[in-house]
Amino acid sequence: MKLIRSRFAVFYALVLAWLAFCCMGCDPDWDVDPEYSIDIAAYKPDKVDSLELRITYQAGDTVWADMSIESDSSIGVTCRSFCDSLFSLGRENKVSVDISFYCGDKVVALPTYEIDSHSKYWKPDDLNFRFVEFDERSIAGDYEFDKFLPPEDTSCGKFVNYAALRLKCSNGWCN
Amino acid sequence: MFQRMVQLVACLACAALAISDDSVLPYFEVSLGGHYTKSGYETESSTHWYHDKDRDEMVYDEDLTYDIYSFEGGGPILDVQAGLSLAKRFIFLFDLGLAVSIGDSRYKFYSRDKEEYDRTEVMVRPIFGFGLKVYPFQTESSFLYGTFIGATLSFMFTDNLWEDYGMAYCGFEVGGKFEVGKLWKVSEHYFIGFTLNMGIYENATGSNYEYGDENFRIGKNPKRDPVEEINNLHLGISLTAAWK
Repeated sequence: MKLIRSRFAVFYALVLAWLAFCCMGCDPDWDVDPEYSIDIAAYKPDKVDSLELRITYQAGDTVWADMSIESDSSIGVTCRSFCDSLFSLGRENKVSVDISFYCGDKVVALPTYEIDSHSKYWKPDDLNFRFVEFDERSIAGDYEFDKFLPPEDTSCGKFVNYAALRLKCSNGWCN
Repeated sequence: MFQRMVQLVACLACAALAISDDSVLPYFEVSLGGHYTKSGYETESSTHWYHDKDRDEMVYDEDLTYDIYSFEGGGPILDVQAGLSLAKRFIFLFDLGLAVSIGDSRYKFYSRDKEEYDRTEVMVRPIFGFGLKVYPFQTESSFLYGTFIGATLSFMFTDNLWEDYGMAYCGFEVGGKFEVGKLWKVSEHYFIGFTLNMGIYENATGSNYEYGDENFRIGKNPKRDPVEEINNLHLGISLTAAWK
C-alpha cells in the first residue's frame, strides 16, 4: 500500500511539474523581454516662479515610493531616473501625481492626478505623461488629452488649461 | 498599377501608329495667360478644447479647427509643354509652368478666435508634371479641327507665407491639371489658339511629417496635415502657340 502511495505521489508530482512547464510554454510572453518606459514631466507655466512634482507609488495601502522634485527652470521637471527605478511588486498599483505651483510666497496645489497602473512582471506598465498648459497649436507629438487640472486656489492664476496628456507608447517606445 | 499604365501607353502608341503613317514628331507648346487661384488650409482639432482667453475658460467645440490659412488671387501664368506627338493625335508631354499670383491671404489661429488677419501676398509657384493631350479631330475641313483635351499629373511648390504665422503645412502639392482648347493652323507645323485649364492640388497628406516629428515637444511650427483634400484650385486662360 505504501509503495502504491509513494508511486502515486511521484506520478502526481510529475503531472504537476508537466502542467507547470506547459503553462509557462503557453504564455506567449514567456521568452519576450518586456520593455517598459516611465517618463513623467511637468512643464512650468510662465506665470509661476517654480513648480514641484510629487509622485507617490503604492500597491494597496503600501507606499512603495514617494518622491518629490522641485524645479525653478523654465521648462519644468522630468521624472526619469526616479520613475525608472519604480518597481511594482504587484499587479494593481496606483500612481498619484501632485503638482504645486510657487508664485511669490504662495503655494498652490493642483488636484491630485491618479493613474491606475497594471503590471505583468516587476515593473509597471508604460507610464508616460506630460503636464502642461495646453495649446493644441503649439504642441507636437503623439498624445491623448486626458483632463484639465485647474487649481481650486486661484491666487497664482486660474490655469484653466493646465492639462494631463498621456503619451502614446508602443512596446516601450513613446513619442 | 505601374505595369498597367505602361501597357496602356504602349497600346495607345501602337494604335496611334496604326492609324497613320506619320512618324513620331516632337511637340512644343508655349502658353501665356492669366489665372485665378484659391487655396485653403486648416487642421482639425483632435481634442476639441479651446481656451477662451476673454473669459479665461476652456470651451469644448466639436468643430474646432486651427492653423487656418487661405489665399485668393490671380496673375500671369507661363506654361511650356514638350513631348512626342504620335500621329499628330496623341501627345505625351512634360509640362513646366510658372504662376505668379497676387492676392490677399487670411489667417486665423483657431476657428473660434475673433481676430482674423489678412495681408497682401505675391506668390511665385513653379508647377511641373507629365501627361497626355489628345487631338481627336484630324479632318482639316472640320470646325472642330485643332480642338484638344489634356490631363496632366502635376506637382506644385507652394509659396505660402504661413510660416510667418506659426503654421507649417507641406510646401509641395500634388494634383491634376485638365485642359481644353482649340488651335488654328498657321502653317504646316505651326498652330496658335487658346487654352482653358483647371488645376486641383492636394497638400500631400502624410508627407508633411519627417522622422522625429511625432516626438512630444512644445514650441512653434509643429507640422500639420490639413483637413481638406483639395487645397488649391487654379483656373486659367491662355494664348497658346504650338509646333507639332
